[in-house]
Amino acid sequence: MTYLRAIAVCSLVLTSCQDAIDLDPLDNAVVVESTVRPPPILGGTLTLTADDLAIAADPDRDVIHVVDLDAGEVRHTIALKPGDQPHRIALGSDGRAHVVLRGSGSVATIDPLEGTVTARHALCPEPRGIAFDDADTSLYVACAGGSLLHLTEGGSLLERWELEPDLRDVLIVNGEVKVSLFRSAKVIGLDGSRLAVDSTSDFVPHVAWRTWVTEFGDVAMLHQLASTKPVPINPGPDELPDGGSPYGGGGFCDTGLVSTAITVFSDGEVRTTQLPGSKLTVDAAMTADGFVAMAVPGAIRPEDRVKSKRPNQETFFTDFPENSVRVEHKDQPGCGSPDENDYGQITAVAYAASGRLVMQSREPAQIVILDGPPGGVFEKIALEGEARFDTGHEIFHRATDSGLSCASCHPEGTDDGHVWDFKDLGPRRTQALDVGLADTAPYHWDGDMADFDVLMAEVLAHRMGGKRQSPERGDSFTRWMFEQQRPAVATGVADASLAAAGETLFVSYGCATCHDGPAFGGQRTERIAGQDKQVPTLRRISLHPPYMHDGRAPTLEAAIRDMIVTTRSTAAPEADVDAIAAYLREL
Amino acid sequence: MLCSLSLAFVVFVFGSPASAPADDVPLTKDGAAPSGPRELPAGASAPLQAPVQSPRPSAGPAEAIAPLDPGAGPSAPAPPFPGDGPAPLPADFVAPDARPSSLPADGVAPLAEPRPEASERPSVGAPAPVAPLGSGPVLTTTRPDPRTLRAVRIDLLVGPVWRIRTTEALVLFNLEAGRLQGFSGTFHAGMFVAPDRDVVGVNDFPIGAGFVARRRLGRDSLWGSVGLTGGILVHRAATDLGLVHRVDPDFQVPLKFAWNAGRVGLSVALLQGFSVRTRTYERRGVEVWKRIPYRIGLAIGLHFDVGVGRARPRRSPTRGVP
Repeated sequence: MTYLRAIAVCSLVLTSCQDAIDLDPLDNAVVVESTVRPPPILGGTLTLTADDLAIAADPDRDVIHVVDLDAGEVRHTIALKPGDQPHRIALGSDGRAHVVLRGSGSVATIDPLEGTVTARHALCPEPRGIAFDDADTSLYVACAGGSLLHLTEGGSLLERWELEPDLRDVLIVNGEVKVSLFRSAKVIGLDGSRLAVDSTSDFVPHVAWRTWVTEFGDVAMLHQLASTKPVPINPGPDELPDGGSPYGGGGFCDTGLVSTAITVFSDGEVRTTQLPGSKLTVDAAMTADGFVAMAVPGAIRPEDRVKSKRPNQETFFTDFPENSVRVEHKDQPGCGSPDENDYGQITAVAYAASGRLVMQSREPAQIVILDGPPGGVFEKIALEGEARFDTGHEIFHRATDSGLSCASCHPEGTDDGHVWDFKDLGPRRTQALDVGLADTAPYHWDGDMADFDVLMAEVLAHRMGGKRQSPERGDSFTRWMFEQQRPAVATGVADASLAAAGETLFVSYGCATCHDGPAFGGQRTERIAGQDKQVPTLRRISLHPPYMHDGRAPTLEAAIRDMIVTTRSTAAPEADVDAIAAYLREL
Repeated sequence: MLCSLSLAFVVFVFGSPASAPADDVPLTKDGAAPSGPRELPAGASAPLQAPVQSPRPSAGPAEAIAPLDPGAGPSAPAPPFPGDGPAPLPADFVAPDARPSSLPADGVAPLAEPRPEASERPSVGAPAPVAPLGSGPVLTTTRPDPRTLRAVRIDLLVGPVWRIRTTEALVLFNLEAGRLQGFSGTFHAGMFVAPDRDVVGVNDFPIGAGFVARRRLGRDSLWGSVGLTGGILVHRAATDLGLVHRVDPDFQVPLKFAWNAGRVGLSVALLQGFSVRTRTYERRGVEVWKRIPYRIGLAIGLHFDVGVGRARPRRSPTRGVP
């Protein structure tokens, strides 16, 4: 009997053995961590003056470069304070330029000719957009929290509006001030007017990377389109989409789950052009004849292509010659511009008055001037500053086999505000990453990702079609992600006492029971309404509508009502809801 | 193509008693064939295959020759004359007008003294009669006991191997050495060719050794064997990332049936195997290739016996001798 039992046990052990061999390519390149780890790509940091000076903000190195395009040399490199993260630039009067400093919540005024910072003004947490109004030589600054500030060029506050959170670019269209919304890809006016990109049956607009006014006075927007179709996460062998990854894409001219689009708002007409085969695209510039140059920092590098080692097999990764700049006509887009030139990682583009395309590369830091179509002769102007190549930054932004990169759904290291329809899982809202992810494992709404290694293997490699990462690279990526925590944005809370009352109510309603700790949540999984869900952090919560794991609450107030009804089975008074919402907007 | 190839190199040589080589046939010192089971010389199978059913004793040197009756005298009735040949006559029988017989008087050993051409005497089983007045030696009509024969058998088998939902092609070389009936050692090496080669091109190479127990089924040349082998299964896969090699323990229970037809025989084998580990290939987290460790193969092929001879006695001749 003992022998039989031993045989049975051995058989059970033997038959339970399984050897699974992963055919996803492994990236075991050497880990490089910059001395100052770069922030996520913001895009659109280049402005040209009428006399062919390029003013390039470098948020990776906290400097501003002034480059003489005609002479092909750097005139000045203006050092800012560490962590300033210069972003958008507006040309002011008397040759001055105003630069928003997202990291320090300020606006710096520089003299490009002298190469000096003439003024700094602290304005609001995370200013994003800036525009100069020639009419009254004033400045408009949009803050992420929803504040729109009207300033004199000297920095004095003239007026303040509290608009919706998540403001991005400021436009002055025929004398009217308009502001774009980043995640929802809309343009709102001070008069309450709205310009919205039309949704289609398969796509909804998100992530307005850049919004600008064309020569004809139209509003043009570079944004993303996110798919509303069911997304497979665990397909069968015969259900894999073209491209070989569950998230699809990756084909030569495939739109994928996330694609880039150009929308032009013109005299009540909204015309959206979807760009197939697009990768992470963060900036655009348009010529008068309709050609659009785009910065594509997520393009697959030649060295990232993996050739199949099987004889007579197709290339494993796409072999289409991609580059980090793409030029298309806005009405007749192709599927990319064949271009073998090495421009670097382009993050900003602009057309000079002469028609030359000027590009800014973040790594290596350089200005690239292309006189002609892509693939032609180009000129490089190296910029000062130490290298900012970083493995974690690279993994986050580089496109995978599906055409997606992490930054496609987590632009600027945060989220796109989209609610995905995952097969066999249900609707899931993209989670924000800039809230401080350290010590918040497990990850994802269902808490099914034990750590970042699991998350990278499952999401980055399997679903998105990226490379598996070596343990060292995975650790570097995790460290980079944990550093991406932005400060709170106080979104125009006028009544401080209301917020204080809200804090008291937040505790008394038991919200703090689960939303506890330094991040106000994110550290536990709770069973609510019959479902185990990861308690989300409430940091910067005002920037992340819609709310709940399935995005069923469009506003913060709706989310508060939902949670109180779910956890206490009684509705809360509206006054309490407003107070709690005021408190949460300060987090 | 696989079938034609297999037929091209599948060789089935199954040794039967009728095809034993001449060198293996032992003779007694007096030139007589042994009384027990014996091997038959090549080329002499035809006359020895059919037993001689003579109605009277022959004059050959074999023990089957009927002895002369010493008591038969003149008064005894004369034996009937054979109808078909020169049978020896009694010694005292003298025909009235016959010359004296040249046969010895006692007549029991007509070839007692070797004749000068004795060394050129044809071997047992030669087509010509070995005795001048006989029809040749009379051999036993029974087949040799296979338990006393040794054999080396080579199988070359081809066929399908079934796993759950997949069927692979099999080519197997098998070598068995031991008792023709009884236990033999066995060694096999083969190749499984996976047909689903879109993602990975897989060939598995089983190599193993063990034993088989073989037995003749009935009186015909039909044999059955069952065995147990252990070894390794070398897994070789061509993938996009390069060649992948894995080695697993492998066990096999071959159940074979063999039928002889002269020097070539037909083998049919049912090969149950277990290679311990389930093997899967995943791409993007999706299982794109899988094999469970259990398999059943049905193979058909030819076998060839490269050596069949008398086995060493199971008991030592010196057993019991101090």
